[in-house]
Amino acid sequence: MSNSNNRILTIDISSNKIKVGLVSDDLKLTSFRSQDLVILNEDIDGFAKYIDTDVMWSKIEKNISDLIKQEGKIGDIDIIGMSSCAQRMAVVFLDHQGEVIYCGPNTDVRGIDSAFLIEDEFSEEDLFKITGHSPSILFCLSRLLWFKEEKEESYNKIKTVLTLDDWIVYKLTGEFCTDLSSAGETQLIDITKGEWSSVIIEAFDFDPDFFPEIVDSGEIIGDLETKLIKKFGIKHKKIPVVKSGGDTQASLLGMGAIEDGNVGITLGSTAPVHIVVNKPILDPQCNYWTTFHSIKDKWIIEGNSGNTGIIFDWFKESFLRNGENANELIESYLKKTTPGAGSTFAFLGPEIMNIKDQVSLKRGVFVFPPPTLITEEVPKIENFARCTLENIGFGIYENYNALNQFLKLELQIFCAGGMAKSNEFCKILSNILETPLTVPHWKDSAFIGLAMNTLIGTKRYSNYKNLIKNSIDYDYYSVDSAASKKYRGIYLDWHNLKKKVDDL
Amino acid sequence: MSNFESIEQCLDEIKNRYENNEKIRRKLAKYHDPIQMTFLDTNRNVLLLVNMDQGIEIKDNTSDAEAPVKIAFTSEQVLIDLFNKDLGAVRGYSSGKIKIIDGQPRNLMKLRSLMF
Repeated sequence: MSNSNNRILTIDISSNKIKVGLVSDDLKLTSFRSQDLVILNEDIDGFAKYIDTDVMWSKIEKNISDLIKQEGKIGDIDIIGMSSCAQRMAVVFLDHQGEVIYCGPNTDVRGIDSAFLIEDEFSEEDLFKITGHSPSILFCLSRLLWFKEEKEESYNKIKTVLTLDDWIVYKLTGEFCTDLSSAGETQLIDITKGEWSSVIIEAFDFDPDFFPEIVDSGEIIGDLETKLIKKFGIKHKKIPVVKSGGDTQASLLGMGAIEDGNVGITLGSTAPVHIVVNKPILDPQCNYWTTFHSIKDKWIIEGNSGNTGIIFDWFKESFLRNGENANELIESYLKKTTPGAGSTFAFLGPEIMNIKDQVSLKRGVFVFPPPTLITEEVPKIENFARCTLENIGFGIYENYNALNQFLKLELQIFCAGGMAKSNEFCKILSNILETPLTVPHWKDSAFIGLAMNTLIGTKRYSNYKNLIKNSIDYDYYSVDSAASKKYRGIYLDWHNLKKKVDDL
Repeated sequence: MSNFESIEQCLDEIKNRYENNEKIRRKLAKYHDPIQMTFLDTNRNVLLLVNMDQGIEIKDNTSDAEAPVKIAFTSEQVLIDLFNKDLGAVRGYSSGKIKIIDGQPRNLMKLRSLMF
């Protein structure tokens, strides 16, 4: 039964933002705050990156205090529980005192210097069969080996290895644990058994005690530390903290993508396209990742379209002068243009996931008819805006098509995240995919997913299906067959041009 | 202050790193593919022959069309900037100053500490 005063406190550390939200117990996002997450380069090369956890934690604390103060002004609120999620692949190494030795974001590829140790021990295929993930430079495994190889003194101090979300939970409760939606992206988990891989741990002689106990997402880990209750300005004495895990899995949950054959597109900084499956299906080409959903006994296969939200934000900042109204401006541009208008194409990164092509950093290109004395129509800013979004749509389309091969079921596509707030982009995406889109009312769906886990963990709800059925409202985007047909041809033109552009 | 002012000095440094850094040699213990570096401004080719952890030979003004790893630099200054840490490898790649013409990613990763 919903109580209008009840709130769930949620924390989401995405690729570039620290976000904190309050969600009602009928799954409405009542307020949220967001600050930039600063990623620092360790050296000029730019491979090794880190996060200053003191700065990050102080931003989390401030966001929470401000948010509770802000909502408290409107009326009494009861915090009935809290949960957090974080960017996948980000990891934290702690010493014996629980102090941070290293916190690396999902973009830290210091493993480039230690991956050879993995490759000397396992073939790509063998490692992929165990972990569902490739390449070796990206994940916790190679970072641990980097410390072992390059910073032995720091490595010898490591006592605990956590994912970023596990660390948030540790800060909130003082407890060490992980869940499969987080740990599944470390390249240290056996993706079939759902446990730390003893084969990998033994191969590299890691201390098995580095790795915390695995709990289920949606399980209470402990209570919020008393000092934090006071600091955050929360009235209650006991706030249960519920484990969630990876931000994308929280987002999938919040958009309602939990059934076999559901496809969830999370339109964040990147656009992972996930298909939900009932068993761990592995890509024989070792390209598409298989990992765990937040829901027990559900796996997800991922095709990632690359930088999408990042491209969208870059376009707005670089080409639109009126920053505050950039989103409205984009909507108006999309309304007054048609598919492929102005014969303008963008090649800015979004494309089919190709993990083997990891050394290629491609150039960004717009292809368009330039002004000439004999040309009457030249592309305008609205054409460049549209083709940028079409490029994002084509990248998602390529990954969606590739994932289709893994499951011969009728697929239902869900979509959420920042870019899903663009009504016109959702129309474009639906037409490019030639499939209707189901978009939840609350586009910041990770907050909703975290609240769902909290409601399950605190036994206010017993199953996710009912929760989704009763509490998530959707907008539906149907396919405009004329626009969709046009996109088939435009995609082929884009795809053919891309082969040439890739050689630049 | 810049330590490297010429390609010759950079090539000496590659040899120095290989010969005096055990970790680098260990990283290359199974590596034997010839590497060709081309500097597009001067059309200069340099061939690096790494014989696993047994030795390295650097042949200036030599090319091998069959080399399985080929890296192009838009100018000689790019390599000098890399060695002086005035340019990072990521920025070098993304700005198009360094281009991988041929080569398995796995092998290129092993070469990073030798060359960049």
